[in-house]
Amino acid sequence: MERSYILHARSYLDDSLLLHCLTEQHDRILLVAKRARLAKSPWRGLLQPFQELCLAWRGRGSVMTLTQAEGQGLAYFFKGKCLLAALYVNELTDRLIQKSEPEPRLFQQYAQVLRDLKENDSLEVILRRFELALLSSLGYALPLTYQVATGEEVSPQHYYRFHWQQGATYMPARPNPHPEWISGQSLLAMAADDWTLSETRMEAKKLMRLIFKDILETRGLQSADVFAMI
Amino acid sequence: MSFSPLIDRLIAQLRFLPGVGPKCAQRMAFQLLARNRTAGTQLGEALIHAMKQVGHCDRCRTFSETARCQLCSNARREQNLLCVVESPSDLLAIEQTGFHGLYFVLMGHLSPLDGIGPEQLGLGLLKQRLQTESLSELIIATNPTVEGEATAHYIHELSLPYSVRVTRIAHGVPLGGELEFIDGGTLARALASREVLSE
Repeated sequence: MERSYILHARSYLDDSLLLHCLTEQHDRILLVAKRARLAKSPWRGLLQPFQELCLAWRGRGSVMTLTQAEGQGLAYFFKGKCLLAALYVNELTDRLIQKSEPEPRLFQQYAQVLRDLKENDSLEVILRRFELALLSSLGYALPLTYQVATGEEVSPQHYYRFHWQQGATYMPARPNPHPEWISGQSLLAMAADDWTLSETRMEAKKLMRLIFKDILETRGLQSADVFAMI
Repeated sequence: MSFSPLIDRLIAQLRFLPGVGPKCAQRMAFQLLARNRTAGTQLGEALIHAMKQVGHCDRCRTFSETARCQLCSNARREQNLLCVVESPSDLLAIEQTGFHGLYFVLMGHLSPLDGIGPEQLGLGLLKQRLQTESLSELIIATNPTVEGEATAHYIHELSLPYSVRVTRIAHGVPLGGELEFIDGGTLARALASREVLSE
């Protein structure tokens, strides 16, 4: 059996569930939980997101069949904004992981973000930290402290245009607010995990939105939209 | 193997029904053709009428062939009590409890991963109802799933500007259930929302 979290569960056929799972060893897998929606199913109430599970499955190919499921400890009950943030984390992880080969530490990072959300001191900071960690686990680590083209270090006094692949490019004049342009100060603060300034948090949020939009191409993150509206 | 084009088409169309596989669809088609053509014709007519005429109630969004459904146009129901449910079948389930207020049917729940946002749930219409109707209580009866909770939270935020009491249905131990066999999550929830015993 393997430690796993359910990122998303949706109805499948009459009485079953299709689960998007994040597992410790096998990254993201799709499992069908047969008859899980019946009143008598032993899995009812168990196969929920934010509950650490031990899962066993059989089969080969893209969708496999769940054979065993046990809960590990208590499920997290997120409420309100925390819940929306947690759903955002799930959507982000589920969508990004399909695009690349994650490193094993991703599972730990995911478990950590759930613990952090439970503490709930500053949602924005928790989300930004997780986003940066997620990107580096997926092999998209952002070059925040130097300019890729020239190798020069990022200066806190200057403004830059940042692209997730091309990194920071120096922008000579202070621009009108443009979402792709970010202050060197914020880039360095992000790299140093220093979120004390509200500008850093705001600029980082905008930057991350753009980066994920670029990586995910086809359609943006729905939960980000829902989250922003509140 | 394939039959004549008409039979093949009938079988293929029957497979759109939930839980109907190829074998089952074949049996249904032959049953209708061999033994019960009248019922088959009636089924066809009923389907065509329902598909063409049934729309959504302009007040609660449930399925209805009239612009306003029977529940909404019933003046004897409590007009200041509004219960929000996810689907018409949830509405029927609540109706069996003897609830006597009005409903709002979301036809789903917020589910970012499936691309369902507030617009798809008709939350604009709900907001309009909160504005125009003098409600005393808004009961949120979405399912106790993660998405149901997110939906409940969203509706709560939506209702904050209006002075309406917002409640959420309780979750916990089923009647006749035994604690020993209840999963930890449900029990923790039941414990968290425990009630003071009163006379």
